Amino acid sequence: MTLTRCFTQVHRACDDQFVAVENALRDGDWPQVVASCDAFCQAMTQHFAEEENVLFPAFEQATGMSQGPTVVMRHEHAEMRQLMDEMCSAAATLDGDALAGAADTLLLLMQQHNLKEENILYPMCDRVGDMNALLAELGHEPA
Amino acid sequence: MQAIPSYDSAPPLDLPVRFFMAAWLWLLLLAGAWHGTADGSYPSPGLWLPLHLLALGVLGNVMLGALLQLLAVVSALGFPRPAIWRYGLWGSWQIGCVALFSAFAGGLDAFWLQLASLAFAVAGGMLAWLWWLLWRSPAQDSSSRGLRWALGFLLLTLGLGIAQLGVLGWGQPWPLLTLLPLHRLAAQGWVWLLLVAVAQVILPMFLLTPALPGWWQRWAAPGWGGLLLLAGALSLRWPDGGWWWLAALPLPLLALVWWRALRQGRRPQEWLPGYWRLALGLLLALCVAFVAGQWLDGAVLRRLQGWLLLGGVALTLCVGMLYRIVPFLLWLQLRRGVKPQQKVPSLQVLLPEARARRGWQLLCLWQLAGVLWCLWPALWWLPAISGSLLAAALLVHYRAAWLRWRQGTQPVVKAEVASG
Repeated sequence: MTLTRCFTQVHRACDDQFVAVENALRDGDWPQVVASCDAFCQAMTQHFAEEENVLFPAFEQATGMSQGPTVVMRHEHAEMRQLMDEMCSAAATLDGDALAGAADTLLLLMQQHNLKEENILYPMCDRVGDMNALLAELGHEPA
Repeated sequence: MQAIPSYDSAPPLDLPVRFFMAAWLWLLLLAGAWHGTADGSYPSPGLWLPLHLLALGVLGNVMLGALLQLLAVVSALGFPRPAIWRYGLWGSWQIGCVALFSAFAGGLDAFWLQLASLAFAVAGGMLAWLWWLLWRSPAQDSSSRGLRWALGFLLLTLGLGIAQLGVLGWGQPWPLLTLLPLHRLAAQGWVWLLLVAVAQVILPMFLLTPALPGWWQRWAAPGWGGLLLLAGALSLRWPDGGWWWLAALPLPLLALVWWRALRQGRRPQEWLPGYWRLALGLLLALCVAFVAGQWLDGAVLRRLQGWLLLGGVALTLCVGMLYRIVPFLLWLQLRRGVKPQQKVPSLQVLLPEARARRGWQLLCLWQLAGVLWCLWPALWWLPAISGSLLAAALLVHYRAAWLRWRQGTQPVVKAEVASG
């Protein structure tokens, strides 16, 4: 399995969890909203950590591009973390409007970020080196 | 050598927004251009004026503004010197529009036609450069490939349009009646291929649909592009063969692919699917109009085909896109101007969804008015009034978003001044 395929699947899994938050919110099921929100934020945080601590340093080392696309990706991670905090705060205070607003904004930021990674960054990672060892280190199953 | 992705050189806010503002102005002016269509004749400058106001002024501006933004995200294109695009592309496009519309409104005056040809030649040069940048992009995904095809057809459309201006404005002895249908065909190619490429990104991204089918992603752009080129070539060889239907062959497939994707969208509470469903309905109507056009040769059907493509599917998706991406661009600009601990208003605060739903209702009214005009051109005042209402609503909605955006930036400026 390529890194592009593996990490794209992670993105889709995060999308599923995002949908679960919105569905629970639409149903007015607040315990489920809080649980889904926590699960979503946890999955996203773990994915960011894998990228920032393992993938991006490997990419920077392989390409010599320490001021390139990874800087922008890290910056967008920080922006998304802030929106996830807003979502979790809104879920904790049962503020549906604030949660819907933060989720709507996060969706756009998250999706355009995913596009950049899936279209450019991940394929570049696959081209610069063998990613199987890296995927194994992160606990993803290489082919 | 592989180009380096330039995510840190994304277009500044004012670059796409100036295209969108120009589109709004042309939409407003379009209201005053319908009266020349009352006799229903085609081809005639009376119809060319609103047709080009809509195609170049409104749709052209929205599509170019959105394209620059999209290319920065999808294909990692950088715009490190935005002034070149601001003046080179936006400026020349607006000058070309002013000159062309003046020519159509003023009896095909040679000065305006010549000015239009020069301005669009500059715009064409800029777009050819953009095309080259896109070829060099490291992105190999289906959307980027589709955008290459779409841009290619835009260049072809511009080239054929400039050739016609050469005949009318510069007295060149080129066959106008051969160039005209080819220009129309290439313009269809630009619009369809752009929508095909953009939908591959937008549907999964904003509506959380599954990815469009792999065969469609791989073959839609080259297949449709090939059919368009084949239709053009056969029409050059056998002008009376009526080969134009070849270019319309993929329309039912497009409708099927979009319908399946929309059915599986996972954000039913969203307002955007309403725009896509309206566009899909208009697309199906267009399919029927094309099939009917094979047996019935009437001016009504030809008007209907043109309306459903430009005023229908394309404008509906463009307006929906504006409601989605403009607040996001404003939000991004705000977010990047504030300190990390400061909270930025959400998209819902910048542009509440009720306004997007109101825009959709006005678009439905516009469609009804347009279809009635196709049937009875004497009712030209209907699209004029409904277009004015749509332009007025867009002004009110985006002015409110802009005012909210300004509120969001003020405290930061004060804080920075105080700390400095």
